[in-house]
Amino acid sequence: MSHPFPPLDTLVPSHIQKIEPYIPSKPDDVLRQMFGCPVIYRLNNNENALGPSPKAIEAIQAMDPVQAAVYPSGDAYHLRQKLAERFGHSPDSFIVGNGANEVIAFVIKAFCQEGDNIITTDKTFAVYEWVAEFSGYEARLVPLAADFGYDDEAMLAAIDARTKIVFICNPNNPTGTYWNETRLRNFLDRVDGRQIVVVDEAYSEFVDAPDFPNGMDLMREYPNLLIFRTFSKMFALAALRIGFLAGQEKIVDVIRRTCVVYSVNSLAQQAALASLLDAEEHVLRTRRMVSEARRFLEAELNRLGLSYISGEGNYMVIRLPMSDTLAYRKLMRQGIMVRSMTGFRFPNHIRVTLGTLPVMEKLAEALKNILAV
Amino acid sequence: MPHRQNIELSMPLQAAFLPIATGCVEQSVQAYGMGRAEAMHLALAVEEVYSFLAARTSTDQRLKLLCRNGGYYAEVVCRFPQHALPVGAFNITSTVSSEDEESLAEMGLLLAARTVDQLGISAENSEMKIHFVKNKNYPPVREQIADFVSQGGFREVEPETELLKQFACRVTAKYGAQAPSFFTFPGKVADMVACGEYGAVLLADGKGNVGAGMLWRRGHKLAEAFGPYVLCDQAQLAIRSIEACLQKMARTSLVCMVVQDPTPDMPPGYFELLAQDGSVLYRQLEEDNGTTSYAHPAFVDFLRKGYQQLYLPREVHPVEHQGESQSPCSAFAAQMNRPARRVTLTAIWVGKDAAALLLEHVRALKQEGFTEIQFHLDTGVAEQAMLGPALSAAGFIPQWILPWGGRGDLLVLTYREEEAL
Repeated sequence: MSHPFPPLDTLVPSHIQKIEPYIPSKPDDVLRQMFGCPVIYRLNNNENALGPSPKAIEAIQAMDPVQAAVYPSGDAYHLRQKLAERFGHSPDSFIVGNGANEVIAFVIKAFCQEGDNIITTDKTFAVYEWVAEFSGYEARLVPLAADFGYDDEAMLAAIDARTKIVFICNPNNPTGTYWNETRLRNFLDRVDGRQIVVVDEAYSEFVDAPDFPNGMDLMREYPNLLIFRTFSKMFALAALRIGFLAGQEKIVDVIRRTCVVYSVNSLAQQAALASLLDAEEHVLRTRRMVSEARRFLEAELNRLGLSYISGEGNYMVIRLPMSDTLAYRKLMRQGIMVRSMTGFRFPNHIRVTLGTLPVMEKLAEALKNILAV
Repeated sequence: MPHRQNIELSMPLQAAFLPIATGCVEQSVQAYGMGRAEAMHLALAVEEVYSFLAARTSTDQRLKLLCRNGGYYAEVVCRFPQHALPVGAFNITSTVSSEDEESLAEMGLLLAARTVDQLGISAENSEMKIHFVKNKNYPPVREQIADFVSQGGFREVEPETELLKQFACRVTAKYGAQAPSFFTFPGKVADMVACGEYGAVLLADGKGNVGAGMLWRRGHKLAEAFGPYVLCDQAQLAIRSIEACLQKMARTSLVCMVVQDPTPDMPPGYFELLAQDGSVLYRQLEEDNGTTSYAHPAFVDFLRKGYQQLYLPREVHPVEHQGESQSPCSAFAAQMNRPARRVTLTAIWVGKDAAALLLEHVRALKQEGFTEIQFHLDTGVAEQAMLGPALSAAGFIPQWILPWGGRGDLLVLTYREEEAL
């Protein structure tokens, strides 16, 4: 006898009923078959085409498979020691999470309750907005300014008594715009400690600009400042899911109460720690690759008459004279996977990861083909 | 419209409780601001269904009733044990024989179907749901709205009631019969947006003159958009309307949008052509990474070719009837646009009598003066693929594909008399 189906309309909270699940892209083997392309170049997730650093690769290869039976360090003990040493803070100033996405959830859980809101922008990394909304909190989306940068005045104006967190993606994904130190300081001064300000520095290691702020230093002066970093982008450990947040101990202690311990596996912890050992060379090598790719692609796009938004970070946004989702499908047929930008509220734009030159050449060729059809 | 206004009732399926069901519907619908006549129509529909079920089901069965305020309509949903009702009775072709007692009993169901503006039937988790919808009446546009000369300075504004009404009047004045008929009822347009089923983008100048805009109906995955409507001589307003519309749809449950009969103001470069005559434009809102389409072998080649042209990743899975048990009855829904003499058929239930029933539908619709008959076949529902031979025999031929128009893609077929076997 079959049992009655649970009454989902009453069991599921209304804010969850309104949300659709995020459906990630299918694995490469399935996509290759569906789009009929022999190979797929993933230029959609801003991964580092050079892969992990040599030390990180060594650490991954050295992992004893027998250790898979043992729980990881529940709070990434050794990695936090290393981060403390690198950035000059105490180990308790860091929380390591299963990717930066997890630490976003920790922070929202720690500070928000029913009726609260968070502030972010309309054209940025979606996870701040998603986590707030599926947790039942309002996400206030302040439009980007005309230069595609964060609009500090509008963000300040959007703050009210129920605002708990302001999220700033610096440099912004996908526009590559950033606030320099003066602008960030000015914003923090005007917030004056009333709200938590999260500066997501997922792409900070790619930034060449000398006036880019060092959030790790600023948090000494601003107790309400939290910094997010990830090992997924520059350090190319995206498959292992590891990122962290940093802040003053008192604030981090509050967030730690909402953390899921043991969520970061041993391999990720060891690889992340090792990647800090040869970080400088790896960062330089990667920046060189990104810079070459950017120069090449900008020249190609100029030749094709396509406009683009090119700032910091290992990505660029390109405006197309067609639907970006159609462009996605057409490019997929040629084995090039890009990020369509309608979902970022940039219709008819795509975002591409800047990688190795041979792949950038393939991208340029594929763009030429879709414009010709 | 607030979810809080829903009225729910659960009651035994026994004749003695019938007045509670009809009374609940009558009073709820009037409390939603609709007239007594509309309330009585819905109450009559529920009475027929209730009486039919009460006479045929065991006394321990229950009926759940939901009355919902849709803003510009009222909806009543009846939920009861599956297979308690002959769904075929709701077909527009249903007839009643005075010599057949069972047939006479079904007359009430037929009446129920005819008293409402929309009817839907679905089944889930051993439960059947019948949705009855009655539209609210609105006064039409009374007088011609004056043109305005704008100095520019248009910006996106919140689609408030008065602005929406002004928009509807201006659209009616400029586009006339080219625009959907609901624009001739400004109050209805305002309610359609207020209830959340429709979205709107309006661009207005500093004096509150609406210079451009778009409207769209939110479906499960697909939005049907109307416009863009450009109401003054200002460059870029069409593009700004489209972009604002797309930005509002981003990060929602919508997967794609379609624009039927776009206005001449539609800017190039935002949409894909579905119908070759340009009458249907389409755009996805997120990356399409494939799905399975179920199709009868007769339509497999058409679908594969269409998917190739649209660059859509699809696995086309042929489905045929191979002797397995089928429901005895079929039911089709008919959505009619009488002024355009256009009707769209969809499958509610696929049963053994599908081929004959489809022929009856075509005959009945032709008799009623419909010149354009479409069938929307949902390729995401394997059972619907079984309709392939019936559709071909009745003279329906595949025209175009509407991606994600149903549970999966919709294959749109049109009736051609010369194709009928």
